[in-house]
Amino acid sequence: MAVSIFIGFVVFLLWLSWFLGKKARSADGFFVAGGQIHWFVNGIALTGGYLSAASFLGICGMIAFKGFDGYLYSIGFLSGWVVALFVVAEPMRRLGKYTFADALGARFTSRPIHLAAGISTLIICVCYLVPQMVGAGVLIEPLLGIPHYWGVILVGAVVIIIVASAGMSSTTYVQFIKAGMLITFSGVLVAAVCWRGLETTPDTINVKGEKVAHYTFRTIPVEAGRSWEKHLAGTSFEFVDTIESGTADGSPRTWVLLKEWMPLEADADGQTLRVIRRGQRLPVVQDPSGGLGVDGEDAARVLADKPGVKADAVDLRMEDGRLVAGIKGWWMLKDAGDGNAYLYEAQDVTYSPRGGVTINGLPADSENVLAPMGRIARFGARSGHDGQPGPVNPFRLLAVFADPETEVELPRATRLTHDGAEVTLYCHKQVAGNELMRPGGHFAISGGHLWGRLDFISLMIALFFGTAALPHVLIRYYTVRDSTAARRSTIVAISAIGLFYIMTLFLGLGAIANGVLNPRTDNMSAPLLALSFGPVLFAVITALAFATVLGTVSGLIVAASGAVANDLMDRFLNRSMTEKRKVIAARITAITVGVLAVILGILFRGVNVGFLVGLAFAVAASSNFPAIIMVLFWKRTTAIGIVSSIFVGIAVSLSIILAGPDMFSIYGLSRADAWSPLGQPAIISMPLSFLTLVVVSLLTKNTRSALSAEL
Amino acid sequence: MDADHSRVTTNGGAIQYKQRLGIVLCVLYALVYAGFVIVSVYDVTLMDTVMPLGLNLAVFYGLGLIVFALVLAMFYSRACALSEGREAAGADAPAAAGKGRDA
Repeated sequence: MAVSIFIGFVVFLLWLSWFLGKKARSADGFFVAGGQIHWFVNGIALTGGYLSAASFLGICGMIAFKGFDGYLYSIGFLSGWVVALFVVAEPMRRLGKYTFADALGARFTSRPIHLAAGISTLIICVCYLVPQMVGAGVLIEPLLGIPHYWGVILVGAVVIIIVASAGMSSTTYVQFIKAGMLITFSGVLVAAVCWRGLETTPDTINVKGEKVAHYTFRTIPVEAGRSWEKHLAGTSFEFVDTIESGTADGSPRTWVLLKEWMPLEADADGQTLRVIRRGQRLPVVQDPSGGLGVDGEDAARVLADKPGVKADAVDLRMEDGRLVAGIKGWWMLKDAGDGNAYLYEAQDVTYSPRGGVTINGLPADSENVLAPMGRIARFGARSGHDGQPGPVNPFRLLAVFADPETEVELPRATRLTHDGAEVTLYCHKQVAGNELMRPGGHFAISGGHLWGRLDFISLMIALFFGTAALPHVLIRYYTVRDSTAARRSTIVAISAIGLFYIMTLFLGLGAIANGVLNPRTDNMSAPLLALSFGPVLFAVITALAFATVLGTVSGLIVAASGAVANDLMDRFLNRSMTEKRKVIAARITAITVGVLAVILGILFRGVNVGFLVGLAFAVAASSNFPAIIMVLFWKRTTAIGIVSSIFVGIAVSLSIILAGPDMFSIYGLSRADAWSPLGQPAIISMPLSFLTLVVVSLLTKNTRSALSAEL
Repeated sequence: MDADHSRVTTNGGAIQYKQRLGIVLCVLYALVYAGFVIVSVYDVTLMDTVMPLGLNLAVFYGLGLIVFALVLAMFYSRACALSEGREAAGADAPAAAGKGRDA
């Protein structure tokens, strides 16, 4: 059911693209849809191109895992439109033809400018494409039950077909429809969250549509000075091992490995003995011949008699006449702050050196998956919420979360090595409501963290100035008739995007409140929230998010193709190409860029896509933004100044990103070993790019007349 | 290259007015936006302050920034439309456009 809704939607979009694409055969049609798109349609399509998978998946996910810092991206992404509309839109419209480079070219005829602009457009497009691809893979994984990389390849293939066969006209209408539906269904989801209300033990629904009772992760009190054996005497637990891991603040954390003896239940056909855990019925012992018996039979004797019977990764023994399995699980030892220490139940994914993967002590398969995490553990008194489910008004919902006495539990991951196996542990972290709902969950802006503060300021700068410099946003200024229409389009886009971004806050918090977080990837939080309301809503939201990826990716690939066909080949290499050959060159680029994005999308799996998009904004703000602003507003700008500033912006911003702590943790290295203490580059790279432009322009002012002579 | 300029539909007066208005509004917005960043960096616990509707300052300010962008965008659009309309109406009387620019 869910799968058919999903596939139906995608096929509909492909058909639409093909149908509308028949109208776009000339070069003008391929790039800017012949300038015939209505401003309202164009405005919503702008929204569609802008609300990428990052907006939907990344922001909601980051809010669900890190709180308000995810919402910083919403604020920043929207605020960027102010610069785009008030300062850049109108003059660009008057100057431009196809691309950012053409707008620059309206003032200078300089081949290096086309080279610089073409390269920066390509790089920004690829930076922006990667998170879309990561998002696509994450979406497909649970729905179709295929691995992440197949999801990425599928999106790549579909988009390459759309773009290479049709071009811009199709993407405008695809994005129009998709953006309209995305906003509508997000509204439905927000209303559903408010209608259901808030409680501490929310039930949920799994991908098959079965209801799953809320699972509250357990705690075991621990007294100082007693041995583990004494603590665990009389319980079903047995001490196995203990190990320490480092934490971000440098203090060690103790993890304890316990074996829990759990009773087994036989299936009616006698083929499988299962353990019932967190609503999952997981096979532990299997005998295809059905000889395990059901009632009263001595299972242990059966096991001893049948050599073909397999017990995976667990110990078996008899206890009070029943067969029990000893399953290993990790617990985190932590001081509760009230003088007592507790063991907090964790989940784990373990990659053994022999190649096997276990989840929570049993072999990983489609049945044995990590339990969803996150919840509101306690409601503060200030908000006066009684903890009963039922309709809550939206402002009240925000107030409940912001209460300092409200306590939420959010999943956190720790990696360590145990017995040669790579273990990733997921445990809840308790966060006070007021800390969740203010900046600082991701960026360390409190205390003496200088670099955390600079990262935060740097991100806000990149988001504010990056929007106006994104190539796939700029290109749409030219798809309407005149300046007035372009302005109206942008206002439609701001309204729609603003409305959507307000909703992301509710979706992220709703995912916490409904306890649906997948600890392995924050990117799935919004679709999983939809799943808690039923598989139909899940399929629709997933299809929309998938379509969001398709729309954004196709817009980006068109921009990249334009950059190569117009700037690099036609202008820089000075090949006077016919219209037909330009379109062929653009299509070849579309395929190349698409394939590159697929490869990078597979490599960056599991990274928050909002974060990755933020980096694309930083590159755009550093390379294109200074050039655009100075060309529009500083008469002494020279072509060489622009070229230098674009290259300095790209080089500095990319270097800081790649050498920064966030990337080092993505590479699997320690954040402390990063070459650059700063992860967000804009605070350095953007001023540096401006400075380069001004200095080089002043130094080369004599060449201006020479360049003008080329006109 | 000059062919592109044939797209210009209004004359210099309205263009300059719109440009100046756009920059003023953008700077105004940037100041309010910077206020958010400065408060966060200066003392993030200020963001816990309870505001109307029971919201904390962080959410209140954040939502406010989004709504403020919308309000400014609509104001700008209206002002541009008025200025263009005035210019179109006053095509025979350049003085009218001049006044509009000063306003």
